[in-house]
Amino acid sequence: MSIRLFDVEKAFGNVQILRRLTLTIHDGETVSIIGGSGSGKSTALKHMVGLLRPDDGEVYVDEQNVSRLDQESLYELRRNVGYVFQFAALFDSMTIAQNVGMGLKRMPDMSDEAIDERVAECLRMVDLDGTEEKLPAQLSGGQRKRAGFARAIATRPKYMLYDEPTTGLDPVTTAVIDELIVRMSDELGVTGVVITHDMKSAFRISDRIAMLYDGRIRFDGTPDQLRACEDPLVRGFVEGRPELMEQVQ
Amino acid sequence: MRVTEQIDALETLAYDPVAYLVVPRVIAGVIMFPVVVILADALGIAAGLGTAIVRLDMSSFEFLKGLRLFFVPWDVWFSVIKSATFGLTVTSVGCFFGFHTSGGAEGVGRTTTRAVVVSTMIILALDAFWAATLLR
Repeated sequence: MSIRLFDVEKAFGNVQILRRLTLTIHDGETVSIIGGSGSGKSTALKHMVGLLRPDDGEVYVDEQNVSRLDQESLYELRRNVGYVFQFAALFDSMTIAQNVGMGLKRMPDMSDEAIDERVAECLRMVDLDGTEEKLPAQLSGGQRKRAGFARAIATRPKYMLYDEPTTGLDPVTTAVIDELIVRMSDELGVTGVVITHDMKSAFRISDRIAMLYDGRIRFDGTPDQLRACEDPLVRGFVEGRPELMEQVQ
Repeated sequence: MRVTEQIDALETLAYDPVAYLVVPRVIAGVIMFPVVVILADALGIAAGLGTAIVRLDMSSFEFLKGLRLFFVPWDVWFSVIKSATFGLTVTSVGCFFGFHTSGGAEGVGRTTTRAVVVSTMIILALDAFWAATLLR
């Protein structure tokens, strides 16, 4: 069980985003993907759940070629994948409880009582109990993000994909989200892929960190290997020193 | 919903966004446009009756006699058929452009304008088409 991207190419119009991107995420590990804006991180993540299809190359999840799955098989696969969106992507017209329960309604063995229980449990996990009947507009940005997190974990997926889960959050909420990601991995054995710009978070939660640059993997290793990396492009990004990156560019 | 990734979220939750978002809207448009047109027709007749009685010193009997004289049942069917196709156009064009929008708030504004222009053009063409085919 793993997620594998092999030689993935993706362009939007004339802009080439991914160039022969190859990356493997092993079962049970949490991998952070870092890189500058526009380097293709979110694009890579969307390929893993079939929201985008590669122009060339292959994407495997659970040994299934995502880009070749028919719609029914793709939905079946997505039931095992939780996706935390950058801006939560909650449904405006639904309450928080309805949002969190959306994925559960697609599960045939879940009764309404079981859904209510699971929703309450997930909201408790992200410290949002009591918000069941509120609308997304009534929550703060951080609360919305946590509600999005609750929605993603509600179906107890095997894989969790996080698109900038801590961007724009205060340090305390960031730490709470980080802890949740670590708990998902440690306690439930969930395989996680985290897109982030937050290096502190990346070091805290990752088993491995991969850096995307110009649509390719520039670095792939453990947090300790990243700290010791001599590549000026990688060091420049990690340490926030553009002058190092300019040397290479 | 596209620019806020709500459609992507639906897909990741294993919902078919076309079945979940588009189909109910199109069905609602096809059913409700004729209902609204029939309601507007009824209100028009009621307003005509009120005006005739109050302003033209006409009795309701005279008004209804005149109404029956010029009433053609086919006209009602014609308006129902026409409005159902208008409902289909407005909802399906709106959903199509909504599904393919991009570029944040500015993109949504641009796409909305394009959807209004395209559906207006289609409605004009349909109007001419139905007049030419059903009113001969």
